[in-house]
Amino acid sequence: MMPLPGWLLKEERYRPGRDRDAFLDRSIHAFLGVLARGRNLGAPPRTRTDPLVKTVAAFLLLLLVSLTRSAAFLALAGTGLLVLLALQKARLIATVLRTSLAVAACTALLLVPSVCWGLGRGSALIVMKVLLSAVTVQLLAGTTAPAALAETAKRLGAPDLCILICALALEYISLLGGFALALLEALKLRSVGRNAGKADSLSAIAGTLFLKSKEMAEAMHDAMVCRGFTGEYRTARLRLGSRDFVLGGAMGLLALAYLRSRL
Amino acid sequence: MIELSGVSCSYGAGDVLAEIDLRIGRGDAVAIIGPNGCGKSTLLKCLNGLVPVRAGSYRFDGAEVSRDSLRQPGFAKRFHQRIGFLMQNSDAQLFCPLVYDEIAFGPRQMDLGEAEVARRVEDCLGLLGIGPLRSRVPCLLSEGEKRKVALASVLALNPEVLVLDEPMNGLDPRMKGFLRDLIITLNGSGKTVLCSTHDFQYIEGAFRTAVVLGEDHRVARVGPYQEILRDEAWLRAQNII
Repeated sequence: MMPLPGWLLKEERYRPGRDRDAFLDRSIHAFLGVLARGRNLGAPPRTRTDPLVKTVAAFLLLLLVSLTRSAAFLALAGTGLLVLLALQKARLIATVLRTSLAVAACTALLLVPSVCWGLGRGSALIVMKVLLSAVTVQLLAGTTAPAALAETAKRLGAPDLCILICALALEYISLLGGFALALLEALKLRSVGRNAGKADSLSAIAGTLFLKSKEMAEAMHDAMVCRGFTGEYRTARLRLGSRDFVLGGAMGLLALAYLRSRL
Repeated sequence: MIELSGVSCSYGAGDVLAEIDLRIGRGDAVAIIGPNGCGKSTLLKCLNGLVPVRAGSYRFDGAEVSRDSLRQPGFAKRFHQRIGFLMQNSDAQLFCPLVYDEIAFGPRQMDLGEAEVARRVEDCLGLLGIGPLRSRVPCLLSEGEKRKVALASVLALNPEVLVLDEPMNGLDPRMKGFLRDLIITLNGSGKTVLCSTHDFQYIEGAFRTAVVLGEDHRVARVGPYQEILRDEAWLRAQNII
């Protein structure tokens, strides 16, 4: 082995200069927060309602909410969603409400100019619609496992390739998040002074992340093929229970209420 | 140099490090060993200020390392220059377009001047035997080459403390032997070395002290490395061998 160079044997007399890189800390904290939430939430709780019924009900609700112009109908749909939300675990309720209210608040902010132009009622309806849609989607995602959503997509006739892409993306959100966090941490550890090319460092991280995601997706696809995956998703037999009929009935009544509000 | 008193860390629910008491002197060579999932990597991340201390205190060369002190840019940058970290996953440590830029990344920020930066990069390339890789893309290298480039990028900062997280993982026996010799040489030159590992046969003679973490995420034992390694019955009881 080569002898150590002289500078490596001396203590470094270095005083860091001033530089602004709070964005690195903020990005790391944001990634840590998302990953910690993912870890804490764990697998979605199993519900006895069939994922297909839940998905169809969610899509129907999204459709009716987006089509309606009646505040009374939105209030009715909102009441139904609140009842469903109240039946979930406290942590899921908190997550759904926090995110949905944040999305609705952002929408309200964007609509401030239209309120100033005297379109207050329409703006209020849009904010309500965004809030209900966000709650619906998050309730579906929070109570249905990704594998069940893939199976539902297959039952609804989605192409296998499309399901495969979505399943791989879902699988790797947390893994890639962890990898992105490690890259940001590595950048922070070696950001020991003035970095004139912060943007270059971040774009290099994005490039590395892109290459890594391609590599990981290929590896996972190979592993699936080795275990007998032929590119075709199979579905189990549909078994409906009393909860599915209750949810279906409630959606039927909501559809009737929508038709009545249009008359 | 490094003092941990009652340090606990967590990633949300449950502690991944519980009430860790540890003192590491300047120039020590310490192996961190323990079964999978006991918190070795978290301990090393905590020492590098990447995982915040939930309870207890961490002092580095007499200065408190906490969330607040790491928010002061001057302190954080000097701290990160003084303690170098080789991550377990070298892929995640390389983010520059070329090997040369990767090694020059730290020194360039230290206002050393391009001639001094070039000298450091060439010295590190030579020391690790990776001169021919200087114009290659880091993410397209082999596992062993990536590990060497990552180590070179850490050494170029001339840290006083080297923290290595399972550096032997995925390396061939020749490369493991090289890394062991490098650790001995660096420690002999006065660097403090902390290293988590399972490759006991390849680190023979490199460490004087061993810190054993138990499955309960606490320090199970601290003592002379050889003495602990000889106590096979105890190591087996701890699920380490």
